[in-house]
Amino acid sequence: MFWKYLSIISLILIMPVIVLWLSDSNDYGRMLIYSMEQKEIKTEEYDPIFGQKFEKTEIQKGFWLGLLPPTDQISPKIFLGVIPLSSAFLALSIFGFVMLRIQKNKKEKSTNI
Amino acid sequence: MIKLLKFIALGVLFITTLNTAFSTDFGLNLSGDRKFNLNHNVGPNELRFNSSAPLEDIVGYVDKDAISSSVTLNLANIENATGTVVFKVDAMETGIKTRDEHLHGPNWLDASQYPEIKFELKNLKDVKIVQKDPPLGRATAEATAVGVFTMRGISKNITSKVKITFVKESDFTMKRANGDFLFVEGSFSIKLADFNVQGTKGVIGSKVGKEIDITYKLFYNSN
Repeated sequence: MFWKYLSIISLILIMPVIVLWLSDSNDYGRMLIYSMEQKEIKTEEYDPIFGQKFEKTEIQKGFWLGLLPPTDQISPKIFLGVIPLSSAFLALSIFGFVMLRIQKNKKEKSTNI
Repeated sequence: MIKLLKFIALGVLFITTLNTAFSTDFGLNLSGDRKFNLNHNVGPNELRFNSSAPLEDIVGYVDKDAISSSVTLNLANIENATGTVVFKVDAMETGIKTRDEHLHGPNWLDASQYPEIKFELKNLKDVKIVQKDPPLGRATAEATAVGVFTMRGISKNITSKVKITFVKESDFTMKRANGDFLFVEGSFSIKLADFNVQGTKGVIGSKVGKEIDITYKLFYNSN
């Protein structure tokens, strides 16, 4: 039963990851290929001395999920992307399914005996 | 002897006429050289670089504290402006720490060997006054900046479209900083290949554009 739940939950978890990516991309202002660690916040202000509007940019630190991780080096950050996370969940789901089959086969064998 | 003096006088007159004919002023009845230095109190200084490639668009910026710049401007002859903009390579950021480390690394901009990128303004051409407000002591000119851009120890002549706004010192401006104000904004593009930037194999042209667009908004005050 455990392996069955693990397979289903792992498969289901792929959906929120994709939703999070879409939501983060929307928040960032463009579809994110790579996960980002900072974002620019632009504000426009009229400057009476120069008689024109100027854009002021401030940097906001944080994390925005992209398709790919923000690093190519071996570190826990390598999972911080939709593709590696979904792949990990898919692999876990397949592993759970395989374990379930093995368990079933064992049970069948023991019943036959 | 008189003939020679006449010839010299004519020559001086000719050169002066030529200089006047090809020099532009802000139309604010101001003259003389002013030296301007970058000042964060005058306005939000900004230096950005953008790369557009099929797989990714990268928007980067330089930490404003790592930029130093000065401009010498003759108010009666804007064309004669000279100056420098220098910024530190390791202050260039793209929003991803690992990517920044690659950017500063030997395959890309090699910050350890070439810690600074420099633009040296030689002069301005095609100067055109586009806005003038003498009561406020303010005028704006559009021009083409001619200069030398140095990156990774390689220097190339470049031109950049610029917009220059001059504001004469007043009680109003003194609340921010002393002296006259200058705002310079513009953009130009550079080819990475021109500066021997090899990059990680296969990345230039796919994830990083072959050309990088640089935009700047710089605020100065005079001494």
